[in-house]
Amino acid sequence: MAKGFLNIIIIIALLVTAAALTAAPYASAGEAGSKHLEEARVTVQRSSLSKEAKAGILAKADRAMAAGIPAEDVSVIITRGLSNGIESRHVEGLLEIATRTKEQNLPVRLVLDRTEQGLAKGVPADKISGVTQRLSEHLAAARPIVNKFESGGVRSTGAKGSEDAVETVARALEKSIPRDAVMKTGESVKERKGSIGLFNRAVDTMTTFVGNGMTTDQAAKMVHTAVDKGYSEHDLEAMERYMVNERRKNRPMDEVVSGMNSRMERGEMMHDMQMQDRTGGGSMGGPNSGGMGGMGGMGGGRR
Amino acid sequence: MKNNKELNRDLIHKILDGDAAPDEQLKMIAQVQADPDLKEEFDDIVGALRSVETSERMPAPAFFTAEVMRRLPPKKATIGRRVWDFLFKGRALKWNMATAFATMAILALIFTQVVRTRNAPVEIAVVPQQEQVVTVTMNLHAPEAHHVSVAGTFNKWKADANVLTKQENGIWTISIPLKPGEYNYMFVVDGKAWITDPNAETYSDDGFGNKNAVVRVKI
Repeated sequence: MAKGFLNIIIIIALLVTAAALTAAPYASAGEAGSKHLEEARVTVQRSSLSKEAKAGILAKADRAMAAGIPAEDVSVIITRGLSNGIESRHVEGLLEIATRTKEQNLPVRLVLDRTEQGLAKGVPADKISGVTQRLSEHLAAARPIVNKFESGGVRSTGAKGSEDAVETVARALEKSIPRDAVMKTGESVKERKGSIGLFNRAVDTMTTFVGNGMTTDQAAKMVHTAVDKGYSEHDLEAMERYMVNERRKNRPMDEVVSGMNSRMERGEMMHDMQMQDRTGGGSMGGPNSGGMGGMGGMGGGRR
Repeated sequence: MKNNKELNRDLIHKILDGDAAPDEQLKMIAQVQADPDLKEEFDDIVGALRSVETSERMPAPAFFTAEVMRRLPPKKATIGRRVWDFLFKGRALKWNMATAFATMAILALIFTQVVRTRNAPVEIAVVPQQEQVVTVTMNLHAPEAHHVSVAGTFNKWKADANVLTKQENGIWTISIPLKPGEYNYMFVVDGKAWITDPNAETYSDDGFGNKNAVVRVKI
């Protein structure tokens, strides 16, 4: 009898040890998560909301975390939302959009970032909801586009690269860049046997051009030409910087576009153009340039 | 004090064992012939002896020696010997269902853990060890400002997380260590005005009608 009891104790001890060993790597992450969640709970409990409203927010928070949204983001949305005086139903709505996005297995970082950014900037909750909802829909539309190219021969750069591309395509669609223009970019990258990273950069450059005042047609044509000419990701980034720099000099966008087109026709790579401009007295921003403009600027150094 | 009968019995055993002297043998024969009871006892013993001598001899079983040795009181082993035996002596494990279930549960846990670790996203599976960062310096010329901070994707847009320091020339500055990647940001002046960095590398729509500055950090 005593021996049997001892056996049971030993078996339980073995099981507990095994469980502890397997759970150990996640202990610190769980600890950090529970700290953020506790902060959010305290904020909710201390708020002047009704009992039902508090329960509603906490239930949404639990569901969001169960879906895989980091506790810190859940905490930021709740605390920032409540401190902004946003109604509980809107806070719940923001959590709901992020949760549904995550549950669709879409990259949720962009939705969370947009939500947190909107709350930080004091954007009205209904506007944040509208923007993030549309963004979530664009992410859903972007996923099959990226999948198509990844399975169709465009070289994958891993899960992170794939998620980045989905986010970039979603932002392009958000800027009303036609799906066809995005698809054509993908086809060009595929013909060049490029990677999903190049596709990502090309679509991002196109979005940046449009966001800075270029027409969609101009931006699409310029990026497609660049990709067809074999421009690298680095060249495309340089094109963006060139455009921003020229615009900073108050040059009209049409002039900037024609200048870039003529340089591309001459077969110049954009990073070469940038070097010429820099040696010729032009100024460029950028983290590694060490430059500092008249009003502000960026500098940087490795550590 | 032994009586006659007991003395005679001793003498009989002595004769049968071959230890009696010749005169003792003659004396005994005379007594046996004279005493019918003694003769009967003598004949019985002789008969028993002959029966033993003529009976078949059974061989000892194979385990006899081992069993005898096992029943001997154990010899106390030294501590070193006992440790050696514990570590290297062959032993048969006795299983029961509870132990088997427990072992299977432990193996299943370990297997699950291995599979989960292999399939885990990079951010969960890899613990960054001294990941390279680039110190990015941000500046804003705002001589009239009383407080300037920077908020962006690197700090979850917390307006009070990274505060700039004012220099004598009216330029506010801050150096932030950032991992490689692309970050959006804006300056927050006096806690309320969100200002786009006029000298940013490039810009991106923030989705709410304004432009974020963009910095791309590379090693």
